[in-house]
Amino acid sequence: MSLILVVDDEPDILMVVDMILRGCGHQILEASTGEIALELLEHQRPDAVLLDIRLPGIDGLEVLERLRQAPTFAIVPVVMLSASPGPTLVEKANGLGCFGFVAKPFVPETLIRTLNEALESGRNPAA
Amino acid sequence: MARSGALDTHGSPSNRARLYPVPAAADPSDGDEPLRTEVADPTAAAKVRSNVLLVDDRPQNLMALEAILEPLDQNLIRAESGEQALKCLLKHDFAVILLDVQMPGLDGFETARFIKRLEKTRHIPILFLTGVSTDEGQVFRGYSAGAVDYVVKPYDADVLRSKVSVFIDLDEKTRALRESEERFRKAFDHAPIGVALVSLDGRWLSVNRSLREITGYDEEALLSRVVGDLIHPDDAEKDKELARALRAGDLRSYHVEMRYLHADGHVIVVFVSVSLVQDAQGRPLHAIFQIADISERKRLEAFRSRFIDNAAHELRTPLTTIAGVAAMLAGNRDSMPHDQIEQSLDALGRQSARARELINNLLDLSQLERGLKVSLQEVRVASVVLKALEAVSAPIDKVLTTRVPEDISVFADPARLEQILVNLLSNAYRYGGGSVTLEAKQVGKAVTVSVQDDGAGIPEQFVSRMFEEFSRGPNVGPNAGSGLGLSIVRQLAAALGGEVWYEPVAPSGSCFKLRLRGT
Repeated sequence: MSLILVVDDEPDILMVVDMILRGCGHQILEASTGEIALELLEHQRPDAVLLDIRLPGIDGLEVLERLRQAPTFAIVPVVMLSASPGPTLVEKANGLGCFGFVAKPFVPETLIRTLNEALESGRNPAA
Repeated sequence: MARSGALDTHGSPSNRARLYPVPAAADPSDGDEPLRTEVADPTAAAKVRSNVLLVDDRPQNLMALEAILEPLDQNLIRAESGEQALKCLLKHDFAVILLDVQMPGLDGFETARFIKRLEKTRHIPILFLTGVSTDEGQVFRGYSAGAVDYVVKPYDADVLRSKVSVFIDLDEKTRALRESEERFRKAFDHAPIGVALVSLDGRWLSVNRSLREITGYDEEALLSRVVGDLIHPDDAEKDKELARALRAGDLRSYHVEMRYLHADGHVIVVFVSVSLVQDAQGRPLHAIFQIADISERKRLEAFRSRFIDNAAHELRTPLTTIAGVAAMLAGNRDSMPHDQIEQSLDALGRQSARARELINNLLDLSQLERGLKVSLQEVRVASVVLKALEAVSAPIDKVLTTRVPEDISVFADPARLEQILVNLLSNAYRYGGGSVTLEAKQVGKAVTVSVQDDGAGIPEQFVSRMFEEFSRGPNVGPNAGSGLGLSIVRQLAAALGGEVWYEPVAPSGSCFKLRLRGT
């Protein structure tokens, strides 16, 4: 159905998310660092991004910021994945225009639901 | 207040005051110099004697005085002239001076005038001793020279004794008061926390040593400032409100945590307790401040919070996989391809092990922080290595080489040493290439144990942080450790009185070395 970019430095988490999303019929792009994610984005435009905040090298917030600066990706919905989103983090991410947060550990239902809402908002961006 | 040594009695038999030579310049030509009995413990009930100065140019008069005053059991000191009297007065403190009016050289009046002029002696009461032939003019002269009383010869023993006792009493009370003040002053000045007296309008009135150390200001600097000068601007409001309430009588005392600015500009966190001192009518006089520097405690608390946050964070990561896999298997196991099920179960196993290791390491660290009990003893390195190898077996695809001579021993706690080796070996297996080497060498008085692998080595930018909690390099793959192993190793090494460090290996690889005391 849709192309989802998943960015997380934990291989096992990438594996689990991959299984969950492919189970819903989505196509997955995997990136284990922010740098790799940005590189992938030069060649492909996903329908949504699942973005871990804690990454080696540039972190999730920085990836989000750079994404928003590029016009092609300005409205791609991004869902942040985070083990412990503090209020400052949430504020920053919201300020940069992320769709929402999914806190780790998550159950597949939560991830799927939030992702679907994000995809929906991407298809019908608010006026 | 050490009491000087020997008991030295000299002078006439009638002079039965106890005599103790004093270390500082007791000039033998000054005659008898019985001195105050110094009592080592100011709270002891032993009697402290006052000094009474008897000044008369005629020895027989002095003897008579001594005889009369002897029952008072004080230190009676003789001077046979005005000059000698002044010399004595410069050396010791006296409760009262009995001063003969008629003396050759400096007479009584002149001597009295000198006494009154000297800061040290002007407060000492003077009793003039005079013969019957005293006219009113002389009496007047005596009082105007500063005498408090006249005693006429022949002396009425009871009257003289009673007059002198009054001054002895006064002297005792004055001394007691001074000692009490001294004790309070010492308590104030030596208190282990900052103590200060502050005026109602916020001026520092009196500041003890600890406070000066805490704030970095010397006495002069503090006394020319107000409390508000030291408070961090963000806490100024809080302080103003509390001070106002105290002055207004809404509060008798308060405690508050706030930030002060040290003299050199950095911020310190202090715990301030303030209470009001009132007069007999209950009106506020001034305030007492007790100030403790809790910066270190706050720093540790912040570190601990961050540590706990980090730990919780770390646990969430393996749990994400575990929860995800569990849900997947629960919902979809009938429709999942076999290899996917295999993969999921592997991941489950891996992440569970990781969570377990993390928790064990956290507990280890917590134990370390609480203070480790190590029992140092002579330990053969080879036997500890054997135990470590049993605890963490080499994975199938790794080759372990050990080079540990049988005869090398160290001073260490065997269990802790084993723990260090287990951690270093785990790391080497996890992050190394195909081969790991463990070696022990005697180097002078010390023993170096090294664990080397031929993996990628530690990237430059992580080298400085590698022994910190939760620091982990990039590209650690699915078998990442807890991030605590090296931090634990470092603390254990320190507890054993040794040290651990990292050396890169050419062409690639890591080598961790541990140095301990040999036997």
